[in-house]
Amino acid sequence: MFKLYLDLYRHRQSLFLMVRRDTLLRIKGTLLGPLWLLAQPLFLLLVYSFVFSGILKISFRPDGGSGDFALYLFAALVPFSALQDGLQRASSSLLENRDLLLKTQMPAMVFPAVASLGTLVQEVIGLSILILTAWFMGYAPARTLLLLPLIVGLRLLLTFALAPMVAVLSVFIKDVGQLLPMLMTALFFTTPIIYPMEMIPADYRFIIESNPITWLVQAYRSVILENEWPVDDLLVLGLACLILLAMTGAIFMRLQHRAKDFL
Amino acid sequence: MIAIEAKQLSKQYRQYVRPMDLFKEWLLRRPFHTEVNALAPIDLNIEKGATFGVIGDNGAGKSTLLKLLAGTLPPSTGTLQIEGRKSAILELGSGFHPEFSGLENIRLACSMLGLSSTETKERTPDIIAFSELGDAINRPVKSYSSGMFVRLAFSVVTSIEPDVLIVDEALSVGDALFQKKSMDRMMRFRDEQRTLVFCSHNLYQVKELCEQAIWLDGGVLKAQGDSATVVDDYQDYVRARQSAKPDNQRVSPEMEAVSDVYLQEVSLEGGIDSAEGIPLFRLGDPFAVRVRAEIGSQPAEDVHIGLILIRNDGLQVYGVSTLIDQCNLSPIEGATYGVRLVFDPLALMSGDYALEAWLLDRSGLHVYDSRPICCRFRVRHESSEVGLVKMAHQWEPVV
Repeated sequence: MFKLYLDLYRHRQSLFLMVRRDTLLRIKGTLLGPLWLLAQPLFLLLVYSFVFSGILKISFRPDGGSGDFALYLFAALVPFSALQDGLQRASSSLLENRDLLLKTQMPAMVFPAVASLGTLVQEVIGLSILILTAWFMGYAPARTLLLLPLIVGLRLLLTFALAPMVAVLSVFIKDVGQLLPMLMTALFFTTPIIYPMEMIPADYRFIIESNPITWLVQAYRSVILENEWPVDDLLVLGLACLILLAMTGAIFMRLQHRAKDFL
Repeated sequence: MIAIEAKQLSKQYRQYVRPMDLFKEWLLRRPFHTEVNALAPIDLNIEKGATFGVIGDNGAGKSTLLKLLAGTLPPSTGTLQIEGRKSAILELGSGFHPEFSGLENIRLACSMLGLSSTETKERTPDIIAFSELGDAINRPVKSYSSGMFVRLAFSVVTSIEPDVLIVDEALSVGDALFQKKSMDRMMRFRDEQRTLVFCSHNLYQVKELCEQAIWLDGGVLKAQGDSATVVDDYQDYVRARQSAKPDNQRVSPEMEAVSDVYLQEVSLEGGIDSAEGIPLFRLGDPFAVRVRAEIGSQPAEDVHIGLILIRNDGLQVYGVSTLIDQCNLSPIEGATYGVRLVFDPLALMSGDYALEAWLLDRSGLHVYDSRPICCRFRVRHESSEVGLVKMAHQWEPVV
């Protein structure tokens, strides 16, 4: 299994070039070019601010103003959509790269890895916009921000711990591609993204609290907006990632060769 | 030294009709698939520096074998050992993206072939020069003609210098001039003591480039040996199959001899007995056909013999008769007459042939008797000449 991940390291150069290509491909030939990468999250933030702060006037924390809601929402939405995007892309990664998989010596693991890594670009841009906007609205960058790269790394690790499994299963079961958006929607609503944790009735809270994505988005909020060190969350999350990584590795190793017969 | 050693290498696919069957099988622990035998167990020992050809019909397992050797498919059984750095060209331009420039595609393609970025930079000018793309290298690949595309792809994959190169049908790309260049590059590979395994439908290339070859048929090894023999055997087989079609039967079986004028014997002189029990001749051997006929009460001038040399795909190579050449049969005893038709030296090239014999009257219109396909024989030639017959020729200085 270690060979699986070691192979990935050996092909890091191709990996990097493929991620770069995927990113460039999104903006290639467009009028705005790289501005699109900026425009999309910016637009989303504006819309959420307007809807939740301007129309619904919900506030996230008892003491906060309604303007904060958009920030809290965005802090969770950026990592969640990165995760969602990564898994969605991973689900079609082996099918789309059939030629490369069967006709070059690239290991199969490369393709879900590219799908996972590709989400980093969007996330970094989204987070930069968030931090700048928060600063503008009075949340001066705190020292806890130093932890952010680690949290982003964990988010990436979590995506990468799930992506190969999603990728290889979609080859055998085409239904995975259909099921995944539904699963992600379910996950979206069982994670405190559009509502604060405090709004959950105590009886249901255990569902939300047992969701690793919950710990993840709470960690983002802690370091960006709350000036807190979410060390416990991160340790548990890191452990969960390692277990998932081992599980996925085992599954992927058993199925990757047989998947080639199905492509 | 052995470069590639395969023992009992084979590949079977499981084919499931519906995805559901996979789950049934998994849950019920009972097979719900049909096994497709893509390649029966095969043993290969390929020497370092050897050039090795794989031939066979479409779907014979050639590509499966090459994918197994390249390591992109895991074998179902057997072991494979390859000495040195290997590289495989299973498809030209897989991984090229149409939106990006040729240069950009070179970068990723080289990286996927295992070159570091400095190695890639070093080789890029060579690749561009070899591909003859010039300034077009900065244009997106989608604007390339298909010829430009394959030229670039070929240039990239052969720019790396592996110890073992596995090539699937990639040599016949581009225009005639580029084909020559790519052939030269392959030749250079061979001369540099690199091991080359390749499959092609261009049998001449296989014969020219390879010392050893195998012939796969339906996933089974049909022949293995020096490439000239294997290619010739395969060609015979292809032709035999083509002529097996009923519409090629030009002489109907109802035409039996009913008179007292009939062919008694048609036989070949010389030749070595080959494994299949048919005589084997070499290009340039003396070759003669002996024909004996009963002419009954007919005058000798009224009976003529026609002979046609036919290749086993039904092609008439040459046909002539005593009538055309104004020659008479010679008496042997009683009403038995005979004649010899001599070709010395035999000008036929490698192939399986047979004779068609006709007993005709003076007008050439009435047929007394005939033998549709008789005296099958085989011809082999060792040189690299191609074609049907060796034609008289000479090379002369240009004045």
